[in-house]
Amino acid sequence: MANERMLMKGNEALAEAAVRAGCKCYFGYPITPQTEIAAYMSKRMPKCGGVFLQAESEIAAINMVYGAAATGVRAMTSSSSPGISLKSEGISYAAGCDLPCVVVNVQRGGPGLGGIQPAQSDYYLATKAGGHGDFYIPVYAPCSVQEMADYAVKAFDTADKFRTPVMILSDGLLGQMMEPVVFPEITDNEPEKEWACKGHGNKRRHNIINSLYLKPEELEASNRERFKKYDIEKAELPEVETYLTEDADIIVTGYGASARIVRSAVNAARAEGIKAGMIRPITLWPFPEKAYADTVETAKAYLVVELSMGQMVDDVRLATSCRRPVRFFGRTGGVIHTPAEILAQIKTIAKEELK
Amino acid sequence: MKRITVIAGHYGSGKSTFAANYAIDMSKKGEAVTVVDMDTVNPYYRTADLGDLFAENGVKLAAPRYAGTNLDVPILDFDIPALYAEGRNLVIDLGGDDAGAYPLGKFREFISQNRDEAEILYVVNFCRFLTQDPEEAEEILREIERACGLSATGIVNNSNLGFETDSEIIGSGRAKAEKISEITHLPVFCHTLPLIPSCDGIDRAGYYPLTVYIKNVWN
Repeated sequence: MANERMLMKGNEALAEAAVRAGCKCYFGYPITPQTEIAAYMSKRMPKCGGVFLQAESEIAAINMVYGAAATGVRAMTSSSSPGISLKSEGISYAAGCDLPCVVVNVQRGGPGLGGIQPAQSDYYLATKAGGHGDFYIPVYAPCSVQEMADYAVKAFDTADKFRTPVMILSDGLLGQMMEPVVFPEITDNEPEKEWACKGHGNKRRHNIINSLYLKPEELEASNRERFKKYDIEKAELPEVETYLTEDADIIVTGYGASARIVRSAVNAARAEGIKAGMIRPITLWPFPEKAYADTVETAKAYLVVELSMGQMVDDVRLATSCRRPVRFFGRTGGVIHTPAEILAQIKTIAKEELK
Repeated sequence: MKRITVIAGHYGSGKSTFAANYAIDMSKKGEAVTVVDMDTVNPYYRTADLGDLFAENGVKLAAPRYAGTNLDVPILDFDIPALYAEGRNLVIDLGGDDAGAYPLGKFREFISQNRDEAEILYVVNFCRFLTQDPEEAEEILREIERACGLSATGIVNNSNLGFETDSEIIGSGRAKAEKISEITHLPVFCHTLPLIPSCDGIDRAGYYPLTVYIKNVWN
């Protein structure tokens, strides 16, 4: 039973994997295209002794996660783009209190209410502006139903290890599509949480979960301490998949759903004799800079493909130190690029940059 | 072939794919068919998305007027008795689970009155997570029946693992379908066989061949 392959939607696989990873509290609010996560949790949580609660708003849900995480249990919330905007205050509070929790964003088109079709226009929101203040959170970008399950488990482990909120940045395509999935074996990576507010029984001093520091020096010291943790995260967390990059003249790069289409385009380019390869960041923060630095000597140009007007493209320019041309191709609003469109971009670059 | 065929089942069990195949096959045999998109639950992958395909095959589509637009709210702005009175066969595609079956309750009396002319099919894919064994699948069937106030008349075994379906999957799905048929005393209406490369070697005798209309955007 454990290793049986099942056909699941990305959203369902993520939810089930979270339960298996020991998620005890799920707080959410419906929004397309992530509603299956909440619907699934509503059926599953009562059967495994967990809590499912549909909050009165996204803001309430993230603050319930804050409260649950403060008691040391594994807690999660999920939403889609507009809902994540609402949660950003709570994410900042959780980051400021070093609370481990998992936030899932199944992205849809924006800005505003946008649309309900897949998009990747929350890259900045996830990696640079998850809320007010000086902080970052690790961001995982799965690209298959299997990875939705695998990284749900990993997200909880990373959150506990570094005492930080972790985001899974998915999109409507990955959330809604069905693929076979095998659930990962769960190893018990949940550490003892001595900092948690779970009753001191008069045996120790009480713990305080707080992000308010009215003395400037104390707040600065707290921020500096947290940034030391970020240095360790930057060293330990980056994950990336490279495909045919060793001899590639043109490296196409995209994450999540885009990477699936990029892979098809890279294969099509190879079939036409163009040496194309792919870099697929799996962690968006910390950004896997090394994969780009490692190829910048041999590659002649980069093409960044996103379902947005161009956001990750900035990080690619930084990671390549602007030593090679970095071009961008994106579709937005819920329109999904085709492999043929990306192939056409690769051919243009081949003509203009490979002389 | 009945005048009314209702297609119910778990989310992602393949209701719309089966409904589309069934309606198009019926049309090819010279029958007048209307597909009714009664999914008020999930705006993704609804039957109305296959409108062009239906038009090419002479199948009429009845869907909420604003399906796929900014006003895609859960409404039924069509009337089943009126569509029935047009004289065409109806293939009614419901949304998933009990949540998707509630709207059919609105037409429960009408369908009960025309019971001899109606087939209510429960589509099941035993590779789906919450319907992996016949007992679990029966649980969802009963929830659907309670929601719409009507009893199913047959099982459509649509067991598949997407584009990785092979003879082993087809075989084990068939055995589970026979088991649920035994438990529920419902006949197996058909076992489906997807027309995809990984199933090329399987003998189609005894199967309902299914064209897979949903395409992967990344290929």
